[in-house]
Amino acid sequence: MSEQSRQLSDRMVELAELARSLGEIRTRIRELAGEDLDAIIDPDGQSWLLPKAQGELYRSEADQRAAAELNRAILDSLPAEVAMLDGNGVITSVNGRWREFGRSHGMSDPQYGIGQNYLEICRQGGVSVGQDTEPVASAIEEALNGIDSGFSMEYPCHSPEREQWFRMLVSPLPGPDGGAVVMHIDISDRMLAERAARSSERRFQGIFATIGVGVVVSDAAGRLQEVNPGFTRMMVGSTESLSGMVVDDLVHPDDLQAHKQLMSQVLGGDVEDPVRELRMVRRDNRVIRVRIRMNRLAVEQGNGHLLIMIIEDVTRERELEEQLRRAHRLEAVGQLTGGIAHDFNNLLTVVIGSAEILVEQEGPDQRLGELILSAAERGAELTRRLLAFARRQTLQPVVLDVDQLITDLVPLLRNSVGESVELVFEQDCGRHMIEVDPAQLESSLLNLCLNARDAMPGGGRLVIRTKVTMMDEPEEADVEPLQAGQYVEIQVMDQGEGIAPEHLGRVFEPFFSTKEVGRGTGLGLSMVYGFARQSGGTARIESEPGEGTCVRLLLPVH
Amino acid sequence: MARLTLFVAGRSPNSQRALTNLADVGVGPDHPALEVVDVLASPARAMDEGVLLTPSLVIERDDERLVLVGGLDDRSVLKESLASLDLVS
Repeated sequence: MSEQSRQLSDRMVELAELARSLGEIRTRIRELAGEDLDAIIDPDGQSWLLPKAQGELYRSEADQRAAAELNRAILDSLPAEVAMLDGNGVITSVNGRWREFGRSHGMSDPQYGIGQNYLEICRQGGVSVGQDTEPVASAIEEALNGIDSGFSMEYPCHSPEREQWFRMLVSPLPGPDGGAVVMHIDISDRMLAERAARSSERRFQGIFATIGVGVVVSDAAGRLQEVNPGFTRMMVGSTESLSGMVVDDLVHPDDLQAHKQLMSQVLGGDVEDPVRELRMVRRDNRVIRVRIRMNRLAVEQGNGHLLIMIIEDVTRERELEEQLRRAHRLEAVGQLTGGIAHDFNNLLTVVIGSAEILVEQEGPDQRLGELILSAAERGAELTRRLLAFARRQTLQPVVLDVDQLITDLVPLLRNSVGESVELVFEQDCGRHMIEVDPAQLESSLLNLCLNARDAMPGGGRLVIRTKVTMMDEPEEADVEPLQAGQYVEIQVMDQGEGIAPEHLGRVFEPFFSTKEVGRGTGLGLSMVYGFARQSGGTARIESEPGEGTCVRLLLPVH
Repeated sequence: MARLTLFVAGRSPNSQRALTNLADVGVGPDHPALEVVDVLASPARAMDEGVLLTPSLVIERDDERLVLVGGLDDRSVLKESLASLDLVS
């Protein structure tokens, strides 16, 4: 037995007596005061908590410790650097992320600011908020004083390693002691995402604004939601003039059904190739041919998905294809015609020779010979024209002044077209010369003037105009495009009824005529075309029904 | 001017109840006439005032001194005492 235990054992009787007395005192106090007291204060000022109060106080303190631990765990789990300030702005506690941020940013204070006044830290520039910190300190002070219900601000806090942004939130705490919570929330992901989104938006808008095709966003009913400048240019309109319109309003009535069907299929998601070619009507009422690619966007508005339409104007492309087709046809017809005409010419040479022998002889066959000779000579003239179209006639080119040639020819042309037609010659060729067969050029001009006269049975104005044109690149598709360079252009324009579009592409073909039967051979324009091509140029025709026709002869400057 | 001093023992239950009862009759913790003294933190104040038990509400005006001991559950007594001092209506 140790000395201490032995002494305790000796005093046990007295201690037991004191404990019994204490119990009696406690019992007597309970008898006097019931359960209505918490503590008794002895003359030395020592407070003795009564058992019930002790238990309650112990439980209360345990609850407070648990609540404090829970609060700390909550603060530590928050995705923000958090500091608690008392009513004067002194930091009373910080959370784990605050300490972690301090460590990673080399904070020398081992308490990470606890015990320091946050307002003073701000005012001394100890808080990097990307701006003057005095207003920040003032705002926190107002929150602490109850003047403001709190404030927030966003600020950059970049390091050489990475870009970072934070949002600072200050919220006053309720209660008589006041204080506030200061939170710095890392918003870098959001800021970077917003920057990426803005960049993406700018790129998209740049593409949207500058892309050479039309881009239209419509709702499921076809109402235009957004159109790009490419589309407004294509439609010769403006964003305002197209606002509120429906795509259907811009589609050619004959193609509307096909367009609606495509929209329906795309919205239903049951179309493999969402591309159609159809006609649209510009704001100036001109019809253009477009290729539309339509897709459903993964964005809904109203009662359905939005649609995006990529619209490409293929009018010129189709015109060039048609021109090339015509050129190929003319080329093929020319080769065929030339071959046949050449062989016929050889045959007719024999026939004419034989007929001339018959004509020279006296007797009954002389008359027969004259008939044969006449028919054969007409046949020869026909083959000559066909050879002209086929560019296989014999030309005798000379260098000449086209304005002078036409000036000399005008009296003959006036006689030929008659008094009801006013023939005007507007010359503007300067001193430029061309090298062509003058007889064939005169014949071609006469031919064109007679066509113009026939197009204006009631009379009208016929203009022959010359000018010099620079051809940089082919204006139209052709089997053998014109060489770049200077050309003399001779225009023959009438005010007639014009040529229907469906006929315009065939007027240079041999035996094609829009004149009534018996009034034209269908070889006039073919010869003009063949002569121009054989002379290194070409012939073109433009016509608008009701507006008249213009034939342009292009001949290379010598 | 009357002065109220409530002596409590920390956050022990009867002391808390006394505070609640006082607030319920119109003398909350912020009342200018009320001072709350925690004897666990300030035992000298209890000795100076001769307070031996908590909770105790010491009511003083001029030379008058009244001490109410316990949780102040008898609201009528409490209210009557305070009304006589014009602290509550």
